[in-house]
Amino acid sequence: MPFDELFKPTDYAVPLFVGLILAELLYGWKTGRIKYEGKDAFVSMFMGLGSTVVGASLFATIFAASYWVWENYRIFDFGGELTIGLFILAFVLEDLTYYWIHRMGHRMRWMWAAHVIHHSSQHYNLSTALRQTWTGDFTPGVFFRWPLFILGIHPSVVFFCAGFNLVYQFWIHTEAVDRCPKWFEAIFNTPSHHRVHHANNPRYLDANYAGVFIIWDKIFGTYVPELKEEPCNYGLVNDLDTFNPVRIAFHEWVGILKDITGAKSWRDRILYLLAPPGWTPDGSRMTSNMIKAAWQKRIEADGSAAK
Amino acid sequence: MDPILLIGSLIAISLLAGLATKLFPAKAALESHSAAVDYQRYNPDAKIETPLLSKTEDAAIIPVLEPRGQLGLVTKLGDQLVCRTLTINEPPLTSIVGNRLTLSHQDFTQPPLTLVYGEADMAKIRTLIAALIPIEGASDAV
Repeated sequence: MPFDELFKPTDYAVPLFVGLILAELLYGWKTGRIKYEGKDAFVSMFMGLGSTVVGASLFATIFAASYWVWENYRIFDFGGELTIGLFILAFVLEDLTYYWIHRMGHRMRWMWAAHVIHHSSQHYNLSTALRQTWTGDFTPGVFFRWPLFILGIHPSVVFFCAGFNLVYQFWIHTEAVDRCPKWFEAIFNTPSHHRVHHANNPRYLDANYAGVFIIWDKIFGTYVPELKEEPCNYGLVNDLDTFNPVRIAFHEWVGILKDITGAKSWRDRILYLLAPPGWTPDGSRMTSNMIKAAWQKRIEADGSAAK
Repeated sequence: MDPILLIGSLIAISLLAGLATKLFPAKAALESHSAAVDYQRYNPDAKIETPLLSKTEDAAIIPVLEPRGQLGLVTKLGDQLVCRTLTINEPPLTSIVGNRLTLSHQDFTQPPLTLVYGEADMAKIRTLIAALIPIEGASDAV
């Protein structure tokens, strides 16, 4: 397929998204296994629509920059047709890139300001998958795919694969599926793996960043399995008390701005942007590492008390 | 983006959300026990007393014994609970008029909220909040 005929997979998937949300709603109502809340679901889907609008508005700029990098700095030339081999190579490498964008999206407050939106619901259902950022293109995340362009993969192919990656991730936002077959759980990101990622239990914080292949988490040491004895509790460590989409979209940016304007040194200003969420110069707030360390300490203390 | 597609999407979103509201009504009131459990889940080391539930049954103040200089706040958002800790370092703007306590603090995602209490609970709240900050309009209180 010539590059200029590549389409946006997410556009074609919208009817599927709507159909599956409807099916999950009815399934949840019938079985009681899944919960929805009207306002929460509305906000999630509205954030998805807003993300699409913003993404479409900025796509030309992002694509032009990507094309410029590919045109001027590519190492290899993969030709002008999308072959199966090129698709597989691009899909796997794009997924690896996604892993790092996503990981940094949790570990750098600047990128977290955009990504936090996706985690801001206390529900975990298919509508949560659509709760997407409006500000992702204003973070360093936009540069993470540049190595692929430098390698020689055409931007059209990279964004085509990124679209499929997003479509894949839709179905894993559900509690309707408990576990998939073992071989599938070993290779692919599944509802079980991704429930862990959305949980705010200290045990599960900062884990399972995968898009399609869970193997990246296993390789880079961020894989945490879902435990039957510890059900996932969804949301943020500091949940939002609003259904206002604008406040949801921009709350962390406002937080960063407040912190930066109140900071005493340039070092602190820079770290408010680049350090993990929760970082403060005086340690008065908690990062996820601090929350996990406190939890670990409590477990150990409980263990010695039990002895 | 095509305006027809945009309007169509908004209609589909509203219909699905409307159906969700119908099938999963979030009518349960906040209970003292669930407020305590929620606060304790996020603050496992805190020593707390019985939550003071607002008569509106959508928010509760949690007296925190340890660590000192803190006050818990649990509010209901849809069918979920949201938990905050008010501290002496970032005290909320507070006013008590009659049996109504209005709290507003430096939180972009939490609008100011009003809690309603009987006389006995309001007296306790007054003491708890006085430990955090001076109360604006306290003289108007019943």
